[in-house]
Amino acid sequence: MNHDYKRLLNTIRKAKIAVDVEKLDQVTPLRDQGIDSLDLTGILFEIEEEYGIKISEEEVEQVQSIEDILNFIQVKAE
Amino acid sequence: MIKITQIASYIPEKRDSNISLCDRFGVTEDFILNKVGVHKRAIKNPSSKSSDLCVLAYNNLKIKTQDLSNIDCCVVVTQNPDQPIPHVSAIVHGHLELDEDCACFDISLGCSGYVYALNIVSSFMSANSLKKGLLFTSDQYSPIIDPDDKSTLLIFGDAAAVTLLEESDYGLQPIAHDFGSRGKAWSSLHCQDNQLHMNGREVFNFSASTIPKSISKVLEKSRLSINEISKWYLHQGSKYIVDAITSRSNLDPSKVPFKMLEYGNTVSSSIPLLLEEDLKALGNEGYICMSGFGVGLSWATSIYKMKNEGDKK
Repeated sequence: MNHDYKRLLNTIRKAKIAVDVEKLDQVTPLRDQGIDSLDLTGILFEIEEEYGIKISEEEVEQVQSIEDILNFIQVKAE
Repeated sequence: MIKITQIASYIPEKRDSNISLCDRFGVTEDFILNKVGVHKRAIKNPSSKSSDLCVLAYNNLKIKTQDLSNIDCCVVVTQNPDQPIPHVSAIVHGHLELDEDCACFDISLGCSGYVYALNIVSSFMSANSLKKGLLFTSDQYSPIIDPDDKSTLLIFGDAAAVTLLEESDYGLQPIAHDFGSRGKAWSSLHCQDNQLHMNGREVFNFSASTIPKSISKVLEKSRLSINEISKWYLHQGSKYIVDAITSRSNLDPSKVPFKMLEYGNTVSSSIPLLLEEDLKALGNEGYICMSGFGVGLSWATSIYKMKNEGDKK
């Protein structure tokens, strides 16, 4: 497990979602893995806080899976 | 010193169920009950106005309190007045047939309104040597809800509350406060063309980031530790936001009442509805904290000390 992925999982864990974070598939949209709209709101909030970034309403569509989020964070950091 | 000595409320009997909306909005019963935290929403009679609900809350206060004569001020917190002019407090004043030397004004605030207003009214009373005041909260959102908007329809319910503030040796007395606004985000929760619009994510982000800091500030100002607060009365925005603030502030969940399941988010009345039940039961438990947050985006957090008849300190 690489550092970026581990950091993201730890961040998602802070949102206290009911789903086991370790079992989340990387490419499947989070909404298709039992994560509801409020949990997704909580996850995006924790990501914004952890990485010091802002995810606009338009950008939410780009961050549907773990892979999407990792790519998004990388682009924002550049 | 001016203290909170009694609270009464009025919650309309009519309830609309959220469970029946699950299929329509593509959500589960578990989501409704454990995330939104609203099973049923209290819905006022369509012909009732803000002032009518204030009067009904006052009638319930009369049952609890022997002496409601000589009211020196009558204040209403609302953003849904009966009509643009006059202020609702004047209409309430008329209905209750209060004395002409009773001061009347409205305060236009939403979910932070009760905590703000307690401070405003008690300061106003102290500055003018007033002995007894009525503080009403009365915001009914049912007429401004879009029936197709999941983010607002599932949350808001109608209610009103009245708090009796008076010169007393006993009751809740103010200790420390923190107020603030994020005005640049006002459009996250607003009413336009008689319809409520809410960006739920923006409001959640604001609440989850601001309120834990506000709680830390009032603890610091009061020189109290988190463990010295016996109850945390958080605005009942949704179960999800109450849980998030509880977790992010490291509050003991058993000290954070949650009570909107059977009537919904009642805006500025949510905190007095919680306090009403607990006021007498607080006994000598000491300090409580209340925090209101939402429309504005605005927040107000206060710590109060309970002093009852058995407490001679």
